[in-house]
Amino acid sequence: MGAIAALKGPAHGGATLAARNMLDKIGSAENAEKWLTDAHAKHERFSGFGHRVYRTYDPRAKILREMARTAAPDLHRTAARTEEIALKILHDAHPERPNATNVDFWASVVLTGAGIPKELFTTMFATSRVSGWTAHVLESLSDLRIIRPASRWIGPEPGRKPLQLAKR
Amino acid sequence: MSTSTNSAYVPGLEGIIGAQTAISMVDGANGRLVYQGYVIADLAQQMSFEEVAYLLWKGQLPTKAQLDGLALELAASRTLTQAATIALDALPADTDPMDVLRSVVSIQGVEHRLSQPTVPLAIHAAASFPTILAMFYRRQLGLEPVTPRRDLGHAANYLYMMNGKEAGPEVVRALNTYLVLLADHGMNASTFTARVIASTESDLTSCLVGAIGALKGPAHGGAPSAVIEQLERIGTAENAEPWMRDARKQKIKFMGFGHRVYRVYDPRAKILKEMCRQMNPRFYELATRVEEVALKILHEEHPERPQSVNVEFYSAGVLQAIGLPKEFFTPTFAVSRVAGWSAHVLEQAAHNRIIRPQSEYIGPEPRKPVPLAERG
Repeated sequence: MGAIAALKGPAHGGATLAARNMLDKIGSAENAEKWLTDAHAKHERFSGFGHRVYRTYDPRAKILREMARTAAPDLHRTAARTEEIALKILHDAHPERPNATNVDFWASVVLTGAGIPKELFTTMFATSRVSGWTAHVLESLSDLRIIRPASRWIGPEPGRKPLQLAKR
Repeated sequence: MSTSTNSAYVPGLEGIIGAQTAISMVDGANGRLVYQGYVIADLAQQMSFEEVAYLLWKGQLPTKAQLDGLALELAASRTLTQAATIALDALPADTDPMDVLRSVVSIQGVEHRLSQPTVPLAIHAAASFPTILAMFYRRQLGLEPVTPRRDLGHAANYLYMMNGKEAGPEVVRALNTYLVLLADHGMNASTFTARVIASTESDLTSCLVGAIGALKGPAHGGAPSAVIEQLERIGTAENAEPWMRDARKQKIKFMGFGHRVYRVYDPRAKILKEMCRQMNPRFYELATRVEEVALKILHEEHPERPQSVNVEFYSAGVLQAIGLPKEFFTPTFAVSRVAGWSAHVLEQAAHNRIIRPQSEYIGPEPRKPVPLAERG
């Protein structure tokens, strides 16, 4: 349940839905350049781009991209053009960052082609990832040590005295 | 082989800084717990749980008007949604109360969908925990739920809804102190869990459900009932040493000892121990003897390690004196800690960056899969 709760966040599993929502707003391949340029000017985040770990093209995105071509030809056209423009804008803005399309971007197109309503995208992700979650739970059983990191204190200097309610 | 690792694997993330926080600080070297700059000993017996929850959420103690406002909001949120009530009634009577809490908190929160975490949502969630637990407890006993009272505070209402009658002022004060003491504790496992979930921009309910799941574990919040069970097995102060020496030979763990952070006496345990002395003399007599023997044995085994009782040890005696059944010890921990969890979720959401550490791959070198037909 904790893993499902984390996957729900738009910065994690909810990104597939966010990518599809962005493609819906863009609407067509012809509109991609205008929409993305405007969105970038307004400092909006492009959904479906960037990943903490991959520094080259996500291997899963590559496979899904090919599948998308036959699974959802219309949306694929919009998405391919969106990808091209978005990567160009991101590269121009931050040439030092290795920006790449992530798995959520092309997964949204493939799931659309498979006829999955977009509200169920994150649950489809969970249907797959539950095998990984459970594998990690089993693995952690062999190395039981409570995960309890430290924190850095940035609050008030310790030791101040509380005022009684009547004096506040 | 590893994926662009830039630091060594640290089991349990011990010593790795998981967050910056102004909510609470565990000063392990000096045995101090600090909430927003206030040392716990200055809050524990003078403040209501509501005042401390406000402090954790807003960074300052409330004025009288602010506290009255909070009390009204809590009172308005002590009822369950229809879906949550139906779900609670559908659970088998022998369900673990932590599973009840995890499930019903989840359903109680579905109407908020993917809302941004806010203080009003934190109040709403915190208010519901005692109601959920009390309704389930009474259902186990075949009793009708009790409607909370607007004139009672959080601790008093919890006991009133459980027992159907108002608890005495001493008992209410003791539960209030327990709730204040346990409300937050640095980057403990359940709080870190809540912050990890918050970092994905998920909603408050999702964070709390994950935190409850972490608190359920015996290595975290699940220990106080285990303390009682072990003390029951020991039985008498005279039996402590023989039982415990024998237990050690069988590699049985002493429940309620050791903490990753404190190197001296846990300041919460100190307060709870004194409360046990006053409220639960039978427990106190046995527990202090067990503490003495356990520390002696642990010191003999590992003289280099600083050993001490942890908060669970004397919590058990206080919660027992309050009259809570031991299955409700860990859930009552959650009634308190929800204040800290939600404060951390608000803090994480305000300065967010997804928490996504790295892992060290220790599996086989990349290899080609053999098709099913060729695998024999």
